[in-house]
Amino acid sequence: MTIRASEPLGKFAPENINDHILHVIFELAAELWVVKRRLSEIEGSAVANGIIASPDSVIRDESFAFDNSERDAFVERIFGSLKDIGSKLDNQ
Amino acid sequence: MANQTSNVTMPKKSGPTGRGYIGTMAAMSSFDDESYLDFIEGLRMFALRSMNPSSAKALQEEISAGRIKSENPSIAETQTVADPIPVIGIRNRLLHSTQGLNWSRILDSYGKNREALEQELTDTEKDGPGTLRWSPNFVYPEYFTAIPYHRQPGSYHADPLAGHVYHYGTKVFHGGSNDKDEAKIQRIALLPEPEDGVVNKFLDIACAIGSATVAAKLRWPRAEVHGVELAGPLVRYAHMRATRLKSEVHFSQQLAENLDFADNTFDLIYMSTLLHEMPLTEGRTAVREAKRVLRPGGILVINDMVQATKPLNIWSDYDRYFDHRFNNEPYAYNYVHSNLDSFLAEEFSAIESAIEGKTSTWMCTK
Repeated sequence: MTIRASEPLGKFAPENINDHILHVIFELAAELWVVKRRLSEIEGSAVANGIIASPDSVIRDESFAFDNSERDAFVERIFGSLKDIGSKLDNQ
Repeated sequence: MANQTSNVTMPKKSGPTGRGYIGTMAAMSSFDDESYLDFIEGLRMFALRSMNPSSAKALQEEISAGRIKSENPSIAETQTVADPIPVIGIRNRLLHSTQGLNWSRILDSYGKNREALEQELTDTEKDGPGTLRWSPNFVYPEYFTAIPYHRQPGSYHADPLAGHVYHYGTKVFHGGSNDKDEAKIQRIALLPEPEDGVVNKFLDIACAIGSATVAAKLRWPRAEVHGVELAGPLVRYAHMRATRLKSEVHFSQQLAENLDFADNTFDLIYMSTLLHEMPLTEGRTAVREAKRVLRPGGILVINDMVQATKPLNIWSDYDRYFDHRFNNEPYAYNYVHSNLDSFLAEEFSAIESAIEGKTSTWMCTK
């Protein structure tokens, strides 16, 4: 059985690591988007050619390509909380 | 004019990368590269649309709390308060990272087809309907080569693919709003004509990749349209792109401070986003040089960053200085504090100006 204890936040990584971590997150998110977009193309093509009926029951009406509003919603979902941090962090 | 777009249909799958075109630019070399940059574009838009307002609000709260007392604080005083604000720090990181990721992926992707892309530039140099004048031995001023503008690797002059990279980079920078020159066509549609209505000769100074220049030819198809640009790779790209669009535009590599046109040549001159990229002295010289080649009654239209106000918009001032500090815009901050209005009023017989968002337009009649 795993015993969950409070994390020693701020103990291991120096304060200025945050910039680096954020940079890594952006990079990871970009690569994730690459995968999502490619998968969408493949799935759409597979459906259009009758190879598969409906992957994961996702059915797109006209085009299987993402548009900007879908992308922007994706970005907002992942990073949206950052804009609400404001001028103080919780531990300040 | 507002809905007009370039009238050439691009082949769907062709071009130097083998993946066709996005608007008027060659597509990335792979679908993954395109997707990656699509995401970066979205992330940048998030920074601008969501993080900027939150950051400005957070700074305003600190100002309201009395942490900045002056109406016109020094940038050092503003930084002392703004830099430690978490939401602003994250915004700064977002903008800096997206810019770096943008350039590196574009360069990597076009780099996979470098030979074909460079060959296309060479193959179209003598093609028309327009013309190109440039020299591989052009001597650039030191202020221009001192830094890679906007952190673009190799800047605008050192990499033969700088025009390609710049074009795709601005696609991401502007959120895809100019893929088919739409934004430039709209901008050119708003330009005033001289009082006598004569526009026989048009000049675009610092035309970069020639989007506005081609748009001017669309608006005034009978006019002789010229575009001058300092950076060799950009002006070569401008010519190649205009050739592909079958636009009869005459491009030449020239220093804005020292044009080779005769006095009183042009009816209308357009100078967009140049002055903030130059030291003040050279910028003033460029304006006087534009005035020299403008005919009496002709109009010089300047589009550039809004000048600083008093009392200061403290967030805008901080934002501008961020570009100075972290985005290789070494001259922009001095430019916005340079009182351009007074200078133009001394040089021209009549000035009209307007502000839209972060951009000012000055219409200067000689």
